[in-house]
This record gives sequence, C-alpha cells and structure tokens, in this order.
Amino acid sequence: MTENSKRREFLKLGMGGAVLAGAAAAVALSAQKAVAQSAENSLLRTVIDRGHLIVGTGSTNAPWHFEDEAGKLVGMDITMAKILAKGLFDDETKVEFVLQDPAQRIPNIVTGKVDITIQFMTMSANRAQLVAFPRPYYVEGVSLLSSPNGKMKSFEELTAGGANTRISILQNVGAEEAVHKVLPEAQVMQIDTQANVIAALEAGRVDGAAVDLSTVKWLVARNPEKYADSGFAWESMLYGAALRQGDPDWLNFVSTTFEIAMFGNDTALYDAAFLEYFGTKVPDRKTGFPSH
Amino acid sequence: MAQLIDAIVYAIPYLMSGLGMTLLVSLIVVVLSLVAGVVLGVGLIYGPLSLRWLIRLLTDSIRGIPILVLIFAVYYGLPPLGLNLSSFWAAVLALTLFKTAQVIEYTRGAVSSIPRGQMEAAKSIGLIFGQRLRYVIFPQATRRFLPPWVNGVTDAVKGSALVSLLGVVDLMQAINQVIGRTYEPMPLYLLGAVMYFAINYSLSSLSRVLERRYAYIKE
Amino acid sequence: MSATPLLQIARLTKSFGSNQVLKSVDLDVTAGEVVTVIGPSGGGKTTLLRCVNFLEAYDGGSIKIDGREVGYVDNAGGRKRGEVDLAAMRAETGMVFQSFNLFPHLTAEQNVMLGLQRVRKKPLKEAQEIARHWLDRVGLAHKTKSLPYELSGGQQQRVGIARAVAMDPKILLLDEITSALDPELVNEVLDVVRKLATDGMTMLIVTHEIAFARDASHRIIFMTDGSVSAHGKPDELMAQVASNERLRNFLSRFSAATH
Repeated sequence: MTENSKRREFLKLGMGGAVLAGAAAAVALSAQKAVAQSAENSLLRTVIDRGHLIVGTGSTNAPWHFEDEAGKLVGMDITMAKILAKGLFDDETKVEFVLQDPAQRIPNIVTGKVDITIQFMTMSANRAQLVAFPRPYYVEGVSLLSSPNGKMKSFEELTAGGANTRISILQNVGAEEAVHKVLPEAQVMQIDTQANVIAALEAGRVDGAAVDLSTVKWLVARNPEKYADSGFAWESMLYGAALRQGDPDWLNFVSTTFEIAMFGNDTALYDAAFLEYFGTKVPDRKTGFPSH
Repeated sequence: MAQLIDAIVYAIPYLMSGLGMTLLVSLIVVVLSLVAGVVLGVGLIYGPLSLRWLIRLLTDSIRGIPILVLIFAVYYGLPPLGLNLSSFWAAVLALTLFKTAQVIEYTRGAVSSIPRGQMEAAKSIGLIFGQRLRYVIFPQATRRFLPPWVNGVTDAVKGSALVSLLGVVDLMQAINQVIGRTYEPMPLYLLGAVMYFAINYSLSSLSRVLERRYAYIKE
Repeated sequence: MSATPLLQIARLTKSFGSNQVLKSVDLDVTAGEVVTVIGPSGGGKTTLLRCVNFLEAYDGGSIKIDGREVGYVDNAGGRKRGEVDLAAMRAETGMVFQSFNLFPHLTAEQNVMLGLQRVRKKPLKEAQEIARHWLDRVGLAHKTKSLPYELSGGQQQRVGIARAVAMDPKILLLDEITSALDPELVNEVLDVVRKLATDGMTMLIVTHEIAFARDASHRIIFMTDGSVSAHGKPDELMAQVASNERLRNFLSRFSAATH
C-alpha cells in the first residue's frame, strides 16, 4: 500500500467517524430529546422532569398580568412565561400559573412554592441579595398620561403650566421627588391605587397622571379618545424575573432563553406581545457585532 | 349615569365566581370555627385543669397574632413541618383558627353567664353531663351567644377578602382583576360594596329572626 | 321493726380550703321519716344536704342510701363514682332549692317532664300525664303551660317541688325552700310539704321555719359549727332548751314564730 492510499484509508475512517458523530449530535440536539446536562439538584432538572413550569404572577395589572374578556390570563409577564415553556418543552401551554399578592413575590421563590416569579418586578440591589435575577426583559419608565380633551396635552404644555399643573401619582416613598424631577413646580396628589390615580385624570381633578410607561402605552393604544401620551418618559427601572439563589444552571437557562427571545432567532412571541401590549414595534435588531 | 350602569352590568359575570369563592370560604370558616369553638369552649369551662390551661394558651396566642401574620405563618410556616397546604386551604385554616379563638370566647361568656343553680338543678334530677348541656345549658346560652356570634359571621365574610393575599380569587380579587383590565374603579367598588352589603344584610336579618326566637327567656 | 335506715350518714367531714365546715356528722333517716335540720347560718346545714346528692364532694366519712355509698364506689377505697353512676344515684334523691332553679326556657309542665323523659326514659304521653298529676297535686293544674317568669315565687317553688317529686325519689332534700319567698307566699309552699309528709315521703329539710319544723317533723336536728349540737323528737328537743345554751339562744330569736 502506497503512502497516499494509506492516508485515503485513514481519511475514510475519519470521515465515517465524523459523519457518525455528526448524526449522533444532530439527534441529541433536537429539543425534545435533549436532556439537560445539569446538576442533580438544579430546578432546571426538576422542571423538565415535572413536565410543566410553575410561575408565580398576578392577575390584576394590565398590560403585565391580567384576565382578558374570556377570563384567560394574559399580558407581557405571561408571555415571558410562555417563552420559557416553549424553550423547555416546545409547548408554550405547559405552564401552571400561581396567583400571588405582590408581597409574595420573593417569599414564594425562597420557599420553593413557585419555580420563577414573573410579576413586573423592579430589579434592585436589596432584592438581588434575596433572589437571583436573570437578564432584564423590559426597561420601565415613568410617563405622564394626559387627557386628549384637556388643556394640557403634551409635556411642553404641562411644563408651561408651572405651579398650576396638577399631577397624580401612586402613593410611594419618593413619589413627590419623582414628579418634581421633571416638573419642579407641579402640585402632586398621592393616591392609593393605580386605578384611582388614572380616575383622577378622567375626573378632571388632575392634568396628568404619572404612571408606568407601559401603562401609558397600553391605555393609549386601547383608548386613544380617552387617553393621550404626553410624550416624555424618565427614570428607568429594569424589570426582571426572580429565581432562587444558588442554582446557576437554572439562572443561566432563563437568561439565555430570554436573550434568544429578545435578540436571537426566536423572537416571534416577544415581538407580537410587545406590539399588542405596548402598541409599538420592537426596534430593528443589528447583526454582526453583538449589541445587547 | 348610563355609563355607570353599563360598566356595572358588564362586570357582573366576572364577579360571579369570585362571589362564589367568597361565600364558600366564609361558609367553611364559619361552620368549622363554630364546631371547634363550641367544643373547645365547653372544654374551657368544664374540662380538667390541664385541658383548660391548654385551651387558654391556644386562644390567647391566636388572638394576639394579627390575622395577616397568621395567614402567612400558616402558608409558609407549615411546609417545613411537613404539612403542605394549597393557598385555599392555608387561607381557610388561618381564618378558621382566628375565628375559633373568638367563638371559644363567645361560648365561655354565654355559658358562664348562666347561674350555677341551673347546672345543680339539672344534676339533681339525674341528667348526665351531655344531657345537662343539651337540654338545660345550651338552650339558655344560645340567646347570649347569638348576638356576638352573628357579628362575628359578618366579620368573617368581610375578612374572607384576606384570602386574596395568598392569590385565591375571591370577590375582592375578582373586582381588582376587572379594574386591572378596564381601569374604571368606581363602578366596580360600588358593585362590590353592594354585593358585600347584600350578603351581610341577609345575615343580620337572619340574626334578628334568631334573636327574637330566643327572646322569651327572661333574664 | 327497724329496717336499715334509708339514709345513713356516718362521721361525715367536709372542708372548703382551710375551713372545716362539717366535723364528723352522724345522722340516720328511716323511710317515711321527716327530719328537719335547724341552726344558725354557717353551721353546715346546707353543706350537709348538698353532700347527700353529691353536689358537694365530702372528704371523709360515709353517706349511704339503701346501703350504697353515694359519691364513691363501694369497697374501692376513695374512688369517685363515674358520671353515669353518679347521675343514677342523684335520680334517687330529689332536691328543691332556695332559689327555685327552674329551667327558664321550659314551661312548668316541661320542667317536670324533662327528668321523666330523659332519665326515666318515659314516652311523651306518659311523662305528660305524670307531670300534670303532680302539678295538680301542688295546686298548679291551671299553670302547666306557663313559663317560670310568668309565675309568682310561691308558684315557682311549687313547680320545683313537683319536678323533684315526679321523679319518685327515695328521699327528698329541701334546702331552705321558703327563705327566698315573700311572707305571704310561704304558707302555700309549706302546705304542699305537709301534704307530702302525710303521704309518707321521706324528707330531709333544712329550714328557718321553726314552727313548721315543730309541727311537721318526726325529728329535729340542731347543728352549730359543723356538728350536731342537739337532736330528738320535737318535744324532746324543746325540753333540751333549758340545758343547751346555744339552742336556747338560737330559738329565742324565733319566740314569736307565728306566720
């Protein structure tokens, strides 16, 4: 056997081996057959074995988590849950929702009552000491809802009003400062619930309602005759899902799945929900150099 | 005004299952606490010293804990001890414990206000303990028991709204869900107030009927 | 012919805390006898009576009815009788109270029927007949459907007597049954008791009605400070006044004892 023929024999073996390995890998990579190579006690393993995801969320805040006319739970938080279910089981319906009062968002994670809390939760350093946050899925701001039929509709008009401008906001530590950051002279009415904050605007008792940016987008998209967007947003709060600490595989899985849903090759669910609940298209994504 | 009516009419079907949940929770809590409270109340008055001491300890502890804390303590505190309850049953258990402590008090107050001579007369004609309670003590105690107890029942209905803290969808939560979608709180709070009022008014009327029935017993 | 006494009290002692109320009392009552206990307040008369149907648990000594120990199991050395046992014994003694203790939620008739139905297990009709019979005997046939608050004190007490007697007890215990009555109502009650005595009812009576005690009793017991100070047939007792100073002092308060 000449040197060349020996090499050709060797290469044939190698080719065959490569094909075999490639075939095996292709099979292994199929989502349904993929078995997470994770540690025995990771939630990722537990959830996959269980066959569905348990998500803690609320039911009283549009457009994040609320019941539609048919009584089904919908919203942006719900969509993120569906994205995870799809990533785990190729089936976005494999989710069990556990309704929580906001006070239970962290306790239910820490005690293991739910696998993950997705409930418009602002990421903070304090909270990060108790739970693990995967990458944020929305940047919330504060914006001013105004009345299309009112005297002051745009942010410029509200600013021009000076001390005559009345703004309602949810009762909170730092509520006054939050408004005065952008409207230093405005009168601030602190009100007990979000719905009442908005009702004050409709009743004409205030000129603008300081609410979440997402709320403004939602209301204006639904009721343009009743609500107007003053066109200015400030503050930025990162919304994140909460997971239990000490579980790197679970944390990484959720982060990666969210990342792919927002910037990767599986953005259909996220984009559709973004449009439905916030009335805006997701900005164009860039290829080449990673920009997220 | 028409808008208000429309909003209210629109909301009614969504509130129905919440209403059902409120009634169910209230019913279970009232019935369980009545049975447990009367039994333990009798034990508190007639039982041996060790039992009386134990029951006293139980009621004092529970009545000293705010009901909010009790609800969360039951929901989060029991699983480590091996008892894993659903949100519904954890809330019902917490509310029942709270109400039972009150019913024990009502029972104690009602029964101990009956003159000793009644028990003695009942003993002297040869009735055994159970018969003495059933034929002599309880019929008299009921009259004194009813007013605070019925008050407690209306409180239980109002208090059942606390189950929403554990995510159970009762009338209160159902109201919030609709508001969360429509952002129109007024018609819904109105409707909710009317519904809670209707429930409690029927309860109060029932109590008046019951009180009149027992009124012939002169002090 | 002296049969075993129906009621045998021997060396009875009872204390409330550090206060010894009964200091070794002996007393026998034969069937058909009416025995009255008199004496100053705090002397232990009522306590004695209440020990006989075990409303008070006596500390030492013995009380036997028809040979059976009242509150403690025979030959078992100090073990109290159980609930069912005790109730059965109490059904054999009838008690009438100073404050009547009628059941306010039941009519006169129902008051009398309760024990008949629940303890003697009589059917409704029979219990009703017996109740009506006794209410008639005490002169209240027209008040069977009345509630206690609609009756005068004397009427209530008569219902109390009917309630106790209807149970057909071996012995009747009367605890100062006229002390809480207005004077003009006392006689109607005493008349009923006299009638019962004539009919042969065995009775142990505690009372302040000295004249009644003298007329209606077979024997009178005088108790002071927890023990029997004097006893005997009515004339025998009166004869002891000269030698017994306490008895003399006690009775002197009732010198004008006519009602």
